[in-house]
Amino acid sequence: MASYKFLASKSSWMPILTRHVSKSYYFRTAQLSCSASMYEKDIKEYKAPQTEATTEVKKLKRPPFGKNLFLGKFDTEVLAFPEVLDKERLQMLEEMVAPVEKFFEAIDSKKIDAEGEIPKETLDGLKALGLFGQQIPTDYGGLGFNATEFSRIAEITALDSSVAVILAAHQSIGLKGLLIAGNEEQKAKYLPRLASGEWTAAFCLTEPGSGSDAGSVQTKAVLSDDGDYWIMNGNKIWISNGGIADFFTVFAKTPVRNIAGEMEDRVTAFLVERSFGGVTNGKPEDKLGIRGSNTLPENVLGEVGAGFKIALNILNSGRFSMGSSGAGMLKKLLGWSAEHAINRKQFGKPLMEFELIQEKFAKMATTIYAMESMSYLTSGMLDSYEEPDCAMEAAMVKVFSSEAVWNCTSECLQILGGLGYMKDYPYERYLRDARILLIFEGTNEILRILISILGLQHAGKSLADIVRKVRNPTANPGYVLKKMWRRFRRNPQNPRLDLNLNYYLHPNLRRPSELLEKRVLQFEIAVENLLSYYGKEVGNKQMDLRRVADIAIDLFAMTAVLSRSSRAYCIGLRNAEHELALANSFCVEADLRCERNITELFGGDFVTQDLAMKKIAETIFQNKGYCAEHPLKQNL
Amino acid sequence: MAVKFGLSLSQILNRALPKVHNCKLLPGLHIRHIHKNACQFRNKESNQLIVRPSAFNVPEGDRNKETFVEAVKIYTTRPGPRRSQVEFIYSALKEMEEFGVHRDLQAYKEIIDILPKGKYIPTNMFQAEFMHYPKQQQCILDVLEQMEDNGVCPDAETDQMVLNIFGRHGFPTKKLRRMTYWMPKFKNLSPWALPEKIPNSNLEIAKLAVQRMGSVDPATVIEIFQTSELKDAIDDTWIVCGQSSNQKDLLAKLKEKQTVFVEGAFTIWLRRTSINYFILRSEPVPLSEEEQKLRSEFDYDDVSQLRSWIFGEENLTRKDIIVQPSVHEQEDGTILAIAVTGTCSKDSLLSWIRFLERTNPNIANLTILFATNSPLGEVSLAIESNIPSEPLSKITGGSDICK
Repeated sequence: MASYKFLASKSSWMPILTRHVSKSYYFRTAQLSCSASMYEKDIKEYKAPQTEATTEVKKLKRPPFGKNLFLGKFDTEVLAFPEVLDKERLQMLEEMVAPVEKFFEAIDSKKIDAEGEIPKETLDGLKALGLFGQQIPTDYGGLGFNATEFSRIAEITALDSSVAVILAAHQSIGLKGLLIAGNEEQKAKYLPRLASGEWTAAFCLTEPGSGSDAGSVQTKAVLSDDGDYWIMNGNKIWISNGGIADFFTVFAKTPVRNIAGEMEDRVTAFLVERSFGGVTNGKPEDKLGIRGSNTLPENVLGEVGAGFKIALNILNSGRFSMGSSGAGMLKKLLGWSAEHAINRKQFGKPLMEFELIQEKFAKMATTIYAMESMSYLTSGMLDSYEEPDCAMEAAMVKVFSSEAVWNCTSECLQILGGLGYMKDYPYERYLRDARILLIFEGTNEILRILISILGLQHAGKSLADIVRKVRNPTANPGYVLKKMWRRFRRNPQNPRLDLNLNYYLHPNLRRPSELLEKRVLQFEIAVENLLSYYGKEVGNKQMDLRRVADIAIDLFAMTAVLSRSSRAYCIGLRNAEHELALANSFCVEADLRCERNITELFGGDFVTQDLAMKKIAETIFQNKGYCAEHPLKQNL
Repeated sequence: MAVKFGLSLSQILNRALPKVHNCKLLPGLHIRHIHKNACQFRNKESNQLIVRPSAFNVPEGDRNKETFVEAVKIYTTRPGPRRSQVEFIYSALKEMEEFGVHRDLQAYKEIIDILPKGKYIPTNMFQAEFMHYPKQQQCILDVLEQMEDNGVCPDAETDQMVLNIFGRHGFPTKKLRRMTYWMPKFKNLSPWALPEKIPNSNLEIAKLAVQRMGSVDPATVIEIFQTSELKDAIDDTWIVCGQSSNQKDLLAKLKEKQTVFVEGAFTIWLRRTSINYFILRSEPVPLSEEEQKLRSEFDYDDVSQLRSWIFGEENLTRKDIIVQPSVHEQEDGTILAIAVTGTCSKDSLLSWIRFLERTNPNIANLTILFATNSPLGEVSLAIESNIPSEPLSKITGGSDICK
């Protein structure tokens, strides 16, 4: 019987079903187990696969991927690119995509840009398509999209950035708080109106004195004497939708009694209707002021004093879609540029035959590919994991894609030459719009720190003992010597590849997977070094944190690209060979970037320019500006 | 150990007794790898047992999917124990083409579903290895083979059916899974993607054909002309023309009175339909003696005077820079444009040239020769377009013009 079992395991599932299709793999294994029970001889009738199994996919409990990278733990499950949507849902999405695409092609973006206003017909069209309630559950009249479907639609809505901002401010941040932390009554009261687009939502966090730092809001809210309502006073600026919104998620400081029994100001989130009165907004920059607005106590979102957490949650969960929306925009732009390169002739040859132009296109395509892969991998994680911990991945997607959009748009303009600079064409508008991506939803600098701090916190928990011992070599001489010997044996420059990532990918991707593996292993060593070198001070070493974040982003991007291209090649999608080439090329580029960052982390101040940079900056601040003498200056 | 023995047994037999191994005496041993290559091992003679069950005796006009499904249903719902299932499936397989369901997955599912579930699943190692219920397994293998030949890819439900009939050690299950692995891959291999269903309208087919041929040059522009725009056109039809800017340049460079040829009709196949097209060709331009000499004398090792197109025109006109011929300049001639016309008639070709003249004024200076010697023989005017369900339907133009 034992040998029979051996036979059974030998003739395994066909390759297509094994590991490259993670989600459907799970649902198919569910089917398999039910068909195993059908092996009983007395079954005479064939049963169709249960449809419930397809719609109700069991969520998986997975460790956080990005954070574990800091410990050198690589969740190989991620190398099976998630297939979140089953066939029916995908078809439904596709049916939804076509009219939205048509609608966005008809929008006159140039006019919107010139007049600074979205015409009413456009807004009505958006409402009719249901785009104001994409992530609101169907019970409340929304479309009930999951993260993946939301990303797909974001690809199209990004074609007009003004509309994209309205939609993003409305549902990515404006009403997200209500979805995350609202109670049933609040949801039932507001969501239907928000889903239909009757009301527009806005997210009010930024103030004149507080930008990326959510904890420092100055708006005050105090409970009235009779305890019936809250009185809120303060100023908010740069509120997207501020001028048109009827519903605001406002963050304000409230006095809360802390554990020690003292009164303390904590941030609380409030739901404010415009109709409460007292909300005024300045027109030109959509500056919004809330002066003496009364808010009912039931409109406190979550708990009093829990606003900071909610704000971070909202911002973290809103970021992942920037990858897909950026990719949607860039794909369009790339298409236009390609058409230009085909038809434009210089020196008797079309532009497309010049190698420098070819290089630009290839690099842009690899970047777009990476953006898309990262974005959909993250949304797949959000959809298929139980209690997903994806703040880090979302931040990575945001940082990578905002920079990629900026660079690629700039490159496209370069290809288009003078044409790109003209106001008659849409290209320069895209460039202007792309610039804000680096700044809002958390500036890229803040997010880089966030990424590395999140990772280092996670690593610090497991490495605490080791770091303590290593930092006190006199107390633990034996341990330190052992550690040194082990480090020497592991050879940080060229560690032995024992993660075997290529087992989980198509053999054609062996080389890039080895690049990834090497960098993952080196990254682990670098993180450990960094923690033992700086100890608790590590949080202030921003230049090193930047390097850590950059490596982490590249590792995540390589993972996403490899898993996506491997899946595409294994199931034989159209142009899968091209995807392999993109993945290969991206990994080599990312590897080079990682190499530099890792060398600098390993080498520390001996290799890097950090100290010199600090000194230069210091001099500049002392002199309040550029202070080298003019080159024409003579000293006599 | 036992497993090892089971696996190598077929190899041993193959070496020792190739003839015995390859004939149908030991069915369990030679069907291990069912694929196209295995066809040679199979007995080519038609199955003698085939009878035409009354269920398929449907008058010719009524043979369609519904009647086919109904026929299968009549068989399966007949009272009493079901007899000669395999024979029924074989006869159904034969009838499929006549009923026009040979490319319909649902129809294949219906006939696979005839077999009982659970009965044929092997319960021990020996059954699994030695083709449990060989007749039934071979029958479903033949069904799958026919699906493969017709390009029908089984879906998850088919997989479940076959799994429930033969278990996971069944040969049909293995073949089916190989099919679901490879067929989607092959589906996307062609670099010229076609829509899932080839449209019925000739105009649409013509567009696809010109698009495919024009893909050699990304700058190709496809234009659709209506001959009714021209005053003296006899035929009222459409012309789909493909020409790139490079081809326009080449045409403009031709010298006065040079002869260009309108040639055709040639055939291009789009999956199972074909369409005729015509080309506008000029004679190839051989390199002049001077150019040939320069080319042979070009010194690649001399770096003392590097030249580049970057410094402008004078560099380009130098003879030592050889301009690479475009993709349109082939050894047997330069292709200047391609077209598909609705009627394939000479008049429509004349109209095509007139339309081309609008964008290529140089045509007026050239001598145009309409070459009638099509490699396909005489091109006849298709008065009626009937698109039969035959696998190979040749469309040479038709009456569904401009619809």
